[in-house]
Amino acid sequence: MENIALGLEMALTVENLVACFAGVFIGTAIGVIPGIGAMAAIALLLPMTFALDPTTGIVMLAGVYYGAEYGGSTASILLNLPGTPSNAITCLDGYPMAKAGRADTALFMTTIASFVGGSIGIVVLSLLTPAIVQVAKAFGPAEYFALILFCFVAVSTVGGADPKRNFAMVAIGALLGTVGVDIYDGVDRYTFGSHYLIDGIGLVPVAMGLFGLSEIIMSVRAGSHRVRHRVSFVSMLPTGQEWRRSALPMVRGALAGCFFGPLPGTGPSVAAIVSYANEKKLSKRPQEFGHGAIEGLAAPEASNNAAVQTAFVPTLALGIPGTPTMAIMIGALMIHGIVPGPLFISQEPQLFWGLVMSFWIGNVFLLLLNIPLIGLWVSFLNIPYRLLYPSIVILICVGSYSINNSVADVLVMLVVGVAGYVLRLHGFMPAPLLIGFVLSPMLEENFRRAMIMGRGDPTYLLSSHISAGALVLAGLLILSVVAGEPLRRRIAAARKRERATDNSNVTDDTQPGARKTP
Amino acid sequence: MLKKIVGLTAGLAFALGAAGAANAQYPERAVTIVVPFSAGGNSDVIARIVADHMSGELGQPVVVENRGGGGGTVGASMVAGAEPDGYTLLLATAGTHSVNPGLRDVGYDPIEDFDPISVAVISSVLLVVHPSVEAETAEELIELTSSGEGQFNYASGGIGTVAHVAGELYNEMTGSQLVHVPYQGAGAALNDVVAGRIHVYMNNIPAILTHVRSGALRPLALAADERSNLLPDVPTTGEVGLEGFEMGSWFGIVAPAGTPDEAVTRLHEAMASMKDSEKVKERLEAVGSEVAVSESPEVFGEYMREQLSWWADVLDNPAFRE
Repeated sequence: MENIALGLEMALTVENLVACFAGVFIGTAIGVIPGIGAMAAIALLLPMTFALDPTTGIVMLAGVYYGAEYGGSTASILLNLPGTPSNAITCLDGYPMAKAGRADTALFMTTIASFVGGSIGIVVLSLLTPAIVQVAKAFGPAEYFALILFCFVAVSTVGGADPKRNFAMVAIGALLGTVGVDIYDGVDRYTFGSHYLIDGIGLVPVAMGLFGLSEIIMSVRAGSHRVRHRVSFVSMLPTGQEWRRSALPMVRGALAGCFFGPLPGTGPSVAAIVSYANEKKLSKRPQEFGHGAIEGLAAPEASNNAAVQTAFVPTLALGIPGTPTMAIMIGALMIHGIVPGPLFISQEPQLFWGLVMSFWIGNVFLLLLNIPLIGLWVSFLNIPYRLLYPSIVILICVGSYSINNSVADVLVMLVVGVAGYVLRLHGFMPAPLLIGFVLSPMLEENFRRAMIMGRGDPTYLLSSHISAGALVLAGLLILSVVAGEPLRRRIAAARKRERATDNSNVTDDTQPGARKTP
Repeated sequence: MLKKIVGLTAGLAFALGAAGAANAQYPERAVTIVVPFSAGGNSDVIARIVADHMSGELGQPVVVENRGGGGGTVGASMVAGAEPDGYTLLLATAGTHSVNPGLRDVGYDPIEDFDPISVAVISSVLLVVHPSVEAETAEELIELTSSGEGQFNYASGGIGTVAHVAGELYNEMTGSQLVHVPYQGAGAALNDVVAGRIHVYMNNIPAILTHVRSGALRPLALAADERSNLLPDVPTTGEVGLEGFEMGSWFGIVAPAGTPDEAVTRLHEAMASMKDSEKVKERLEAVGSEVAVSESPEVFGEYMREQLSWWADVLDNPAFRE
């Protein structure tokens, strides 16, 4: 309570309120432009904050960070242009909603889900920081390996209808993820002697090419069928049924986000991937996912925004940045002579709590800022395609280039975009590729590290409760998929047969499920 | 023939340009320091503190530009090929100019392609253990690790990094078998170090100082020839029987080869005054660093050559090759 009062006192000063608003405003604006994500924005604004008081500066940079996470979903929903992997998950159901003329509702629900997720994240952050630090410390390589393996199994349902094609895409993603210097041996993998490839292939160019560029090529080919978009406050409101469908997924998503956020390396992207897969599994209507299911939008959005908030815990309380963006935040503090780490909260309570309270205020600002903007964003879709598409292509190129000021990134984006288009023509969906690309390097890295620490003994992976538990869950999940599917088919086939005997017009042979039963 | 004419004309134009420029005082416009790593890292923080000081001295803005990638080689190559007019500088580090050239073809010559200005910071390696390790002093640690069966881990931010080389040197000098666990960067390693899954860690002071101060890690020795003001109670490696185990990282400013002497001198002057600046001292200390300015650009050049050959010798060890 005392801490909250201290924090509010700090956060409610005029300059901190202004900084917070400026931060979330810039963050939203920049987040809307795909590719130019929070990291680039923070790096650009960093020098500006040197002149400010450290608290004010950090409040502003943090506002940019979570503001960008809000804004990032806009381009994903409207144009299928994800700037981050977590946004790529937003594309899966957000973009189909926009294509069906419901872009305004999708954006509205995203804003609400982001607010709910962010708020839950902040509550967890203010109440449980010491516990979160302990959880983060308890995660070693064996635990990470088990957790990521579990995620891998859990997300196996994301993608198109054909499991074989999905599996092929995951494998391609995993292979792309191996490019670069192997950190264990220093061996170059698939770099072809290029300096550019030493650090591996960039995530943003891959995501933007795979989703954005390939979508544009698809649309051009499909011709000019389009929906007229009109927005009013009433039309953007979700229906009562949509609210009911989204409420629980939002809460579950936020809780998953709170869990993954503080784990270094995983963060918002894994949180979004897992909550999406989770909702698809729990849903009574899994077939609607990928075609505009509103809970497929609400859950990952709540999740990544919760994760963005709790990601501050290890950064501030351990001095360990979970993401490159958080590394910049640490740098920003260090330039002011403040070193985040175990002593940070006790030495700088007014900064820590002021920052946490500014997150609340910032989230309210974002809510107030984003809802009126929905009409403006959606009206962009009414721009004629001959003007809109070239502008998007330019945006994608600029976005890819701006990550590292690298032309090679633009080339990668183009190659991946064209390849993504060809693959989609043949029914291979992009999401599994991206998931393989994000998760498999983590899986490999942690597996090999665990093997080094366990001196080559595989039972090391079972040595802690967390890792053993996650591995058992993953095993059960595989079993349920492998054994469950034929079982379901057999039951379905048996029912069909029963009906067939009742009604002689229907024969077994017309049922694909029945044909497979011995 | 055509090439010759073009070259001649270009040379003439350059000479005329240089003559014209000589009338005006360098610098006439903003100077850029390229940091070959992403913003917010240790190199970036140091570069910004140096840039801030130099802006005041030069009377022109000194801008930091981050060009990450390829372990620093991308940004360094870019500056190696930049116009040598004194307006594009590089934050050179032990990584870009001493270590990487010994490990792979980096696409530039760390000595020939650059004109040295001055070193800014030299950070020594600090040997720390997790408090769960039963060693209160470096001597106890050496006894523990050299008699054991190799049950201890040490971490690094990757192959050929300072932490990795320090660990292998330690193994060689003490006859220990610490097992190397590499990470994707020093930041990623810290979580396991602080949690105690990594037992011994040897890295530059800035990366670990806050954890030493909080008691999360126990400092045993500093790999330098004298003790540091930041940790006056920690003995040097020489004091604990590890003579010659002195290493660390350096951060300095270099310009593309062929930069006019006038500009080099001016830039060196602007950096030299850092050692009298309380502000610079305070800001560097906060990030666990101390100012170290070279007496002259030539002294820095000599230092860079020494470091390059020292690292080349050390890296000529099969542990760092495939």
